Amino acid sequence: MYSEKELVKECLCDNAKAQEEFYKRYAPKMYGVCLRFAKNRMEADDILQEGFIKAFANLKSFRNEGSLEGWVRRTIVNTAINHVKKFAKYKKDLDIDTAEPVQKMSSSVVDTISVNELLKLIKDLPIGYKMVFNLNVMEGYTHREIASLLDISENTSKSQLSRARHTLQRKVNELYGIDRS
Amino acid sequence: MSNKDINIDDLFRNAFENFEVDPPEHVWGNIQKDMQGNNRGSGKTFPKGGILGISVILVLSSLFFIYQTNNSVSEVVDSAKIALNTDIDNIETLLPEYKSGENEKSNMASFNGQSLSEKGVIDISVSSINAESLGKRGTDAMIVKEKPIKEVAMEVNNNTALNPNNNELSSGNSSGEVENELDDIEGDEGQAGFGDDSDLLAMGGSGNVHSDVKASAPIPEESFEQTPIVEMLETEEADEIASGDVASPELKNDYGKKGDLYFGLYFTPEVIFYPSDINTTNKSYSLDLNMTYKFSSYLLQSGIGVMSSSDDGQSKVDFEKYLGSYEDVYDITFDTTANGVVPVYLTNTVDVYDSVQHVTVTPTKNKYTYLQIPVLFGYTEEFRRFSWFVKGGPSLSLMVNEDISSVNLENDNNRIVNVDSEVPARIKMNWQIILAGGVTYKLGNHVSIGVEPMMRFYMKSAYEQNSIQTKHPYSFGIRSGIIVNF
Repeated sequence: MYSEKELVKECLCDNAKAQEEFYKRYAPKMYGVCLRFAKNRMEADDILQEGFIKAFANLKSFRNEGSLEGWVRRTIVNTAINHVKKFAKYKKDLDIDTAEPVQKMSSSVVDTISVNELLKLIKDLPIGYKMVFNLNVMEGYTHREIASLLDISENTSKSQLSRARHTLQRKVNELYGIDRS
Repeated sequence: MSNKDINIDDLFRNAFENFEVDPPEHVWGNIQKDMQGNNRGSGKTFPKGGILGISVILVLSSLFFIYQTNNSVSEVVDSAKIALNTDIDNIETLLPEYKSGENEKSNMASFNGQSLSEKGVIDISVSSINAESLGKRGTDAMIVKEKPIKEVAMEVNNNTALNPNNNELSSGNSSGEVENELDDIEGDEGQAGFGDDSDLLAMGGSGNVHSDVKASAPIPEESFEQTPIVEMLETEEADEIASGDVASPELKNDYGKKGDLYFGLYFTPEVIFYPSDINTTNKSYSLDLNMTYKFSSYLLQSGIGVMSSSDDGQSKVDFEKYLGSYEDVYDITFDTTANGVVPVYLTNTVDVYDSVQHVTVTPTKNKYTYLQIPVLFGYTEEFRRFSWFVKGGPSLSLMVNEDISSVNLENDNNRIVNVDSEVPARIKMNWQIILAGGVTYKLGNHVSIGVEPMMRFYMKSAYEQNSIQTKHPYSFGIRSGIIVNF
């Protein structure tokens, strides 16, 4: 088992074993990321494949300063953004919704929700909501950064996030019969 | 999960924090295939492909030149044979009027009776040019021994061509061998002076020539010096003929039909179209040096050029914000002095960055330089000072330099974690098909200018297939340049 540095070095030397280990080490987690961005498994497969090809091609630009996993994750997320952008148009003129306080749920409810159910909720979101929610909530991008990446305004990004949250909240409530009051 | 209430964001964050799913096996298979394909297509095998392409071009060009040169020599030899036979026939025809004895006639007849091709050989001396009759009194006439047959052929041709009205012919000394001296071939306009062989070309139908035509030891054709015909025309008179100032249609045609070598320096701005999802266009500029070989109405062109192109785009930069620095004490020592114990702190300056990664998008401009090697075939026609042509053929394009623009952040102290360029990577080698047509204008005897609209069709995408899906790009450009021939 290679350390991160060794793994990078061996992959750069076209060591097939190291490349396979690189893939096996990070692919499961990255596939989880892809599934959140993609609308189906087939698209997730494409994003994962394209993302890893880019990762191998650009591995020489990894400076060993941050974590390798974080670097691969960034590559996958960027690939997912590009992939989704190819097939989607964003509404750029949405107004900001009035921000409503986010409803809190008890941990007992949370414990009963499976990851797959949550994944399905994300997948069912409109593509704009899904992208902004994933990038902001799950990946930690600011609205300004999201605006740059998706070629939308910051206000649109905020609006989309707000709508995404409400949609998800409503669906979770419906699913588990939680009273909003 | 904590016992306290959590909001929707935390619900999803916590749920997906360690979310892992095994991807299907075929994904890794596809990645492997793709990486192997890339290595084959562009990276490591680039030199092999390039070398192979250049080798093929060079070999084809060499074979073609050899073929053409052999043809030229054969044509010259054939024309020499025909010309000599023709002249000798003329001599025989005219001989009865000027014959001075039976010996000459029989010698001439016996000479004429053996065709040059039957002999397979020819050693011909042109000698005894009567210096007096040529206006070069007091100097020896030029005597050329064992001249290449083509030169002699030209001279005889010229005599025939330039003195169509010769009506005086006398045979002089007979050496007893097959030796014929043609005396006093006079034109209607009297005598003309000339100093060397090539002047014969410019006599314009006047002048006296005495020549001995001697057949002796065989000389293999291979030993013929392959002197370009152009060399024979490097006098002022020849230039005049070449430029059309002196009427000599036979010579001009001969000149035009032999192979000619032209060198051209061209500049070409082009607009490249990429038919793809992004439907973008691009510009490029080329400077190339070409060599063109013209034979009859056809041309073969090759050379070497440098093309510069660039891609505008943007890069997504992941970076960590620089927040400041502090002095980290990594060791401490205590020095005892007269005033007591003094601590000495050994420190390092440590930069502090935001733990949250940020992303920004910056514009980039990547520049690429290509080496281009075209091999074009074409057809050309001349009229007066103009000529037009059409040509086409393959061109090998090799990337020799790429200048990827660096990323500039607002604060230089920020730490770049990753740069993801949206500008797709270009492939290292590409084959293209070039189609062009144009005109040249002759400024002088050796210098022309030319302009030619051209189209270039890329045999495959100029970009890595993984990064962008493009069909075959194509470009339109206008080449203009200066052409020199020697």
